[in-house]
Amino acid sequence: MLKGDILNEPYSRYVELQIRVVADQKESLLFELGQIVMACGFSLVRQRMAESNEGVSLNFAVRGPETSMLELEDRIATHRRVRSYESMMHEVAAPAPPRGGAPMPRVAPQYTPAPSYAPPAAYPAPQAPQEMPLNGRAAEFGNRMAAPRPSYDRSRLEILLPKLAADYPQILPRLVLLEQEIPPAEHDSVLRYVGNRVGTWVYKRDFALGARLGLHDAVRHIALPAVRQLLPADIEDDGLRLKASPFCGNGQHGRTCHFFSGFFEGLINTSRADAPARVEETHCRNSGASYCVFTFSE
Amino acid sequence: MNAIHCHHNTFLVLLSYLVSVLGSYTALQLAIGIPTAKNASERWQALIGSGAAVGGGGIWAMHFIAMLACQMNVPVTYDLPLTAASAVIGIAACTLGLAVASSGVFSWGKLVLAGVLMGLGVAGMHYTGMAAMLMPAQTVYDQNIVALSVVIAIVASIAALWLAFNLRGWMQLLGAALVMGVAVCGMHYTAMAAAGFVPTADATAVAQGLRGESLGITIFIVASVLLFGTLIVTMMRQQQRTEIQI
Repeated sequence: MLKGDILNEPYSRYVELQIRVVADQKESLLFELGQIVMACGFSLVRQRMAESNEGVSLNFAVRGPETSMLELEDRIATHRRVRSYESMMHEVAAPAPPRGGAPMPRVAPQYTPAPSYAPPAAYPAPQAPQEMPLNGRAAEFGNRMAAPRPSYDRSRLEILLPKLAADYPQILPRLVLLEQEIPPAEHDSVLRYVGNRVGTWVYKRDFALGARLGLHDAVRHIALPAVRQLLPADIEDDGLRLKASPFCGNGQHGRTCHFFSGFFEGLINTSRADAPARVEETHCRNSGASYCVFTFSE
Repeated sequence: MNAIHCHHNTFLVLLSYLVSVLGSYTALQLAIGIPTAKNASERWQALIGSGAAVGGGGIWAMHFIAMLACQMNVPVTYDLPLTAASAVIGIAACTLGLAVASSGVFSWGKLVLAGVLMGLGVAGMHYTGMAAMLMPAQTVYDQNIVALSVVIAIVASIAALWLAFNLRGWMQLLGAALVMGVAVCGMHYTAMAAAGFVPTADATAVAQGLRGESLGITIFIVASVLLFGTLIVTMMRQQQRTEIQI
């Protein structure tokens, strides 16, 4: 079961989640969703229900451990009665801090929900004083990242990697959480490194048997089927294209699919005896392109 | 004197294709592991194993099941040395072809050379096996159809090797084995269409040869070994796959 922390740490931050769902009928809606809230270890703080042109709109706030947040969001967003789902999160002090003192307030990363439900693009007027609009949160996030930060603890990656292997190919939610956890300055190096390790492992596991291939054949017969286990992809003249990278649209700037660059390098270079290939993301949906495009060169 | 006709038993014809696919599948399971061999010893073990599986199982066993399927109204036995030689030809040619296909980086030149070697191995095995037939008849061939049978063997072998070494996934093994089965059976039955049997008065040699019953037991043993080999290789691969560390 996916938890809100990439390594499922036992001590969790507490978060408050503002949720807005739209359903067709109001009968027992709060009761059914409330059961999910309690099952995930959250408590209901407040709620408000209203009828509108689009149906019944239920706004409510819940508070609970961050490790269960993704499960809660997933269960509510995919509930049979929920037609659309939006959420906004902010951190609160935990009832009993595990390591002394309340955790430092922080701007929490926003979870990108599965494509099956609506992304939290717009949220109604804030109800709590701490809340701020999404673009405001992104701006503060950017300012905080501009300050010097310690390097990311790579030993955590060695704990994470076997978990990725165990979950494979359902690894993208965990990788998105990893991206949010590491400083932006290290996104490229850390995510490319993780991608390389995963790609090398996938090659050895699924694609090692057969002749050593040239670059063109390796892209077509190894990289493409391998990445299709993760998300839709195809090959065009200009390179390998991804249609729905989860690393796009998360409040970062520029090209963001560093994991896939490393993933392709791991796959391709493990299959080749000669000079290593270089993979470059030439277009990214995060920068406004229609697809994330990767080119391969020797 | 009237020509002798060969009437094929449909069940045995289908069985011959099945055995051919099974032999090819086992062989290709071993062959695609050749590029990952850690040393020369591992490489040669995989090469000889795959060559024996495709030459002995996919081609030789298929040929003699197909010959059992060919029902003629004259007694037929098989010359033992020539029958054994036909197996050796098939195994040697296929081992050589697989060695070429699996060496270094994949290229079309290697693929064509390997396909030619394997195709000639299939044809060489077949025509040597046909020469091993002892019966009161003489075999005559239509040269054009003989040439066509060799071309079929070579082209289908190239296609099977391309699938096996260039692709990944289920088509790599299953697709390649099915196509290799087409190579072997296509060559065999085309070659049988090229053959005519003219009766002769000499019936003395028939008694000295290997009879159909003995051949059936041999083929059963070969097929069992192939099945067992497939099972073992598949289990080993599965075990290795789970042990790979990220």
